[in-house]
Amino acid sequence: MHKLEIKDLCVDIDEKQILKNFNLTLKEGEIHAIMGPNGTGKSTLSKVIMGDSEYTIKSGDILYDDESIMSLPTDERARKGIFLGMQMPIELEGVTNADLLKTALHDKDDFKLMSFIKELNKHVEDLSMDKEMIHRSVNLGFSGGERKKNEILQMYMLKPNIIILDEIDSGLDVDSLRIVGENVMNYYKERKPAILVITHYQRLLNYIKPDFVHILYDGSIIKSGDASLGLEIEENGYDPLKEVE
Amino acid sequence: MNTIIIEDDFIKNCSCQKNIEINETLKNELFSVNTIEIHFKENGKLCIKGNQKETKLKIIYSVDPNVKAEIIDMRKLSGVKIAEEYHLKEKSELHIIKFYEGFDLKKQDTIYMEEKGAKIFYVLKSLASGKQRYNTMIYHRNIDTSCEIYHHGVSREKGCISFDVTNIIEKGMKNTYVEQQNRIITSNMKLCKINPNLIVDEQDVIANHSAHLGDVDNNELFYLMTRGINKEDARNLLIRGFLLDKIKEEDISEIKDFISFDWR
Ligand SMILES: Nc1ncnc2c1ncn2[C@@H]1O[C@H](COP(=O)(O)OP(=O)(O)OP(=O)(O)O)[C@@H](O)[C@H]1O
Ligand SMILES: [Mg+2]
Repeated sequence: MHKLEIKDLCVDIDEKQILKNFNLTLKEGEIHAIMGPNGTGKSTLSKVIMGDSEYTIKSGDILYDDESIMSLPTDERARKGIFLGMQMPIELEGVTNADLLKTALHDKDDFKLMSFIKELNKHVEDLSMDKEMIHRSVNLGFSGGERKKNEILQMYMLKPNIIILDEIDSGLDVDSLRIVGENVMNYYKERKPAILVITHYQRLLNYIKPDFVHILYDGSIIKSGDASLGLEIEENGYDPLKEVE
Repeated sequence: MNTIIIEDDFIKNCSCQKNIEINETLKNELFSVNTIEIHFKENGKLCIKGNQKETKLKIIYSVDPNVKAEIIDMRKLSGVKIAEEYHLKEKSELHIIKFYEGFDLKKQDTIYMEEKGAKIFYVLKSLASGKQRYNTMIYHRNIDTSCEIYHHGVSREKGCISFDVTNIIEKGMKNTYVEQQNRIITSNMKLCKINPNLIVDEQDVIANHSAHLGDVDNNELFYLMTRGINKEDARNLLIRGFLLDKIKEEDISEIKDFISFDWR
């Protein structure tokens, strides 16, 4: 069973402390949600897990299946099966989705071009995306919603076992939100990965039903609970929790 | 397709229909270099393939009024000096893609937008392993002319590239359009240089330019690496995207056949 453990993580950027003694364990088959006010370090956490060199790790450890991945470059972390769907997927001029995925997958032993194309087309359809998008430059001129769907498309193709989705719901209209939610859940039913969703809104959690909800405040988790915590936040906001702290 | 094959400083092979006239003047007492004249008399597309070493050459292009000319010019170069002149007549259009690969090169291009309504779309891609200097001057000598010009370079290991690009719009040359873009991808900024110029002596013009010099973008690299692509492949993907940007699908396969790069 795959597992990702984050232990006492302290992270700085430009001398400013962002994450403070952050702890979290994600196990296969579990769905976690992190909520928290703007600027509390949610995206920072997701990028640090992937090994973004912009951030300075002061202390702590990140373990994948009980082994530290701190010294591994980003691509090796990804190849272990950790996937990050980004809050703001970047535009890559001249690199098509097909190029990206072929390059990412062609080293796998069982890579076959025909089945790759077939699979890609199926997921494009499932996500109600335009077929043309496969041959367009990654995210270039894509709408906010299209970019998020594209992240899910890549998730499907790469078949990760630890999935982090950073505000995958932002920019989605109601129909797209349902499609994305359902697709993530279908993947979950198929492969039972560990999922960590970062979101501001309960509405995503109606589709991707979390076993655990954590509140990140000022760089650390101040409260954890079950799905009802999400509803509570929607009702009352973060203020009551700050007082508890 | 109409094709010219250039070897060093002469035409080795030429197969062109009569819409394009080709003349070759070998060096003599008056001219110190061989000169090739390429004259578009009617619409048409020309492919130039060159393999040039330790040599000098001059090429003069001209496009007749109302003619649409298209050129794809691919060359492997080393120790070469080339001067090129372009003469665009009334309402002529020239679409030119240049893809150069190799070592030392000095290139001087002079583009004359001679008559009104002349239009050029010029894309240079350079894969440099040596010292390459490109000096490009564009003279807008009539009204309603338009010039979209892109210089894109990638410096390999010891490669150094410099782009000097100057658009000159004289007084009275109303309704001139210029889009000038210069970009170099390099891991050694000190070896490369971009010097963009717009000399404009007329109000009624639209002139834009942008320049970028630097390595591939770290955020772009990070994104690709989060998809499990190693740094080298990610870099290669981004450079390939950069090299094929602004090039039409139909020309891409020609380029991939001729230019040695890890295209995948
Ligand atoms: N590359 C960076 N350079 C400078 N500051 C940064 C950088 N990345 C993050 N920060 C700062 O770190 C803090 C945490 O940012 P982060 O993006 O992790 O917040 P977040 O919780 O994801 O917020 P949001 O809900 O708005 O997405 C913010 O104050 C942000 O300005
Ligand atoms: Mg964020």
